[in-house]
Amino acid sequence: MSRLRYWINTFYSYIFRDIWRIFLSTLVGGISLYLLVFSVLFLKEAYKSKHYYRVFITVSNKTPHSDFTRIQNFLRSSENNIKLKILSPVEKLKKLSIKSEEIEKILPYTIIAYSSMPLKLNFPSDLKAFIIRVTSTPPGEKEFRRVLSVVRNFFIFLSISLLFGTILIIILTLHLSFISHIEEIKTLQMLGANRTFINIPLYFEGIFTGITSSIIAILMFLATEFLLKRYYPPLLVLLNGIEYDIISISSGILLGIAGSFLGTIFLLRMEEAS
Amino acid sequence: MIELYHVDKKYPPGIYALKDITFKVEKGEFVYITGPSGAGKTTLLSIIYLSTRPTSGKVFVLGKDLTRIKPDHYPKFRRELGIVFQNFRLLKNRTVYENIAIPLLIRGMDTEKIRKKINYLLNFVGLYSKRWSYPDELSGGEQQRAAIARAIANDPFLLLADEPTGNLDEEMSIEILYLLKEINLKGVTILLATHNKDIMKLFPGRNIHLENGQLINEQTKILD
Repeated sequence: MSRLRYWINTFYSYIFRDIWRIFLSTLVGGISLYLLVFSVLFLKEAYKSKHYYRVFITVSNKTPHSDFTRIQNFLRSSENNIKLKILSPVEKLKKLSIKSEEIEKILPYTIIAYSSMPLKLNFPSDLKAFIIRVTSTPPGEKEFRRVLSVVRNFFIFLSISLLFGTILIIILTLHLSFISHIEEIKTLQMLGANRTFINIPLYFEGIFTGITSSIIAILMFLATEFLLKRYYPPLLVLLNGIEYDIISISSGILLGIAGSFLGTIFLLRMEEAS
Repeated sequence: MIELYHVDKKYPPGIYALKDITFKVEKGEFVYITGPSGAGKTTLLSIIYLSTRPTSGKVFVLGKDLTRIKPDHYPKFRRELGIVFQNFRLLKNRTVYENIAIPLLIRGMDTEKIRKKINYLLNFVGLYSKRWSYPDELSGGEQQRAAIARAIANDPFLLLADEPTGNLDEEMSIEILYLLKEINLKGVTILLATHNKDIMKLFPGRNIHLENGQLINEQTKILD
């Protein structure tokens, strides 16, 4: 028997004794992670709108791949510090089993070019045929404030409250876990176990809660995709190019670590003081 | 090896659990701490294993002043002791083997050494055949033997036993006493808190008798 095996066994016993408690904390954690990731995306856009000229180039989705690449190269060569973001819902829509002819009806490609300088784009004539529309937005406080107000009014408040809520829930989860295992923990203390030895299964539990929360967040993102596809496909570009699964899982793990770290420090100090 | 000087333990609102306790225990002794329920036996032991701090007085174990040890150093000190409780305090969801392994895992011993040590201990307490049983599948005496094996796993210099026979019938109590005596003969100092005078008749020894938190008398031998 090794230490690791002991910790894993202890973690299993903690989890399966209190499965409903874990489920509830996971559910709230998942909702908060979902909103948190969304608000981060909004903030990122708000920041860009404040500092960059943004040009939206709408390109036909019938554009051959080689010409689409040429359009991108042309944009890159037009300004030194240009950044491109390509919104292509095609792959996403294919994943959602939408037929290709329907895709063509739904959305063209959109390239967003971010530049610190105003852009004057004179596309070569053979490429112009594929360009449907070019619209430009200058950087500005006004739009920044508009986007920010949406974020501020809804996502920030909700997500930060839920962020702390998640950490609090993890702490409370661990607290309940701690209380239900208090005799076991006291016995371990009597046998000379230090804080780290006692805490490791609780860290596992915190991380587990974080990961399961992130799975719920991912399921919510998938549901969002499904609803957008069904009721308003153009908004699918919102989720385009976002690795929300990776973002959600990594934030879930970080929240789990933060919650369990804070929780165990607080709980063991409290126990020692008593 | 253990020295207590004028130790008081007072709980609010001014009730003394221990009052002016002074005594010494030498290395290798087998000492009974006796007295009725509420006399302060458990409090006395808990001061030695650092679960309770005395309100005043000094406690030395192997020359270390326990009243000056910082909480961060409690685990290291406790690893040098063995503790046996009346209610055994075995982890219910662990087998006998795993329970005995815990102090060795805490110490960071490698798996192979742990296996050898546990096999030795299981044979010593006569539980080898029950090594994969869970505590609830054992009799009281067997559970206490498992708890003793766990307590001596780290080769402690001192074994503190708080009413180890309190939940056992006479036959099992005698069995446990034999086991503790055997451990004592290997050089381990034993402090055994009990209110059962019958078991002391079997193995006479030094007795520290408490009543209402005060040390009433000390005897070198328990006599009828």
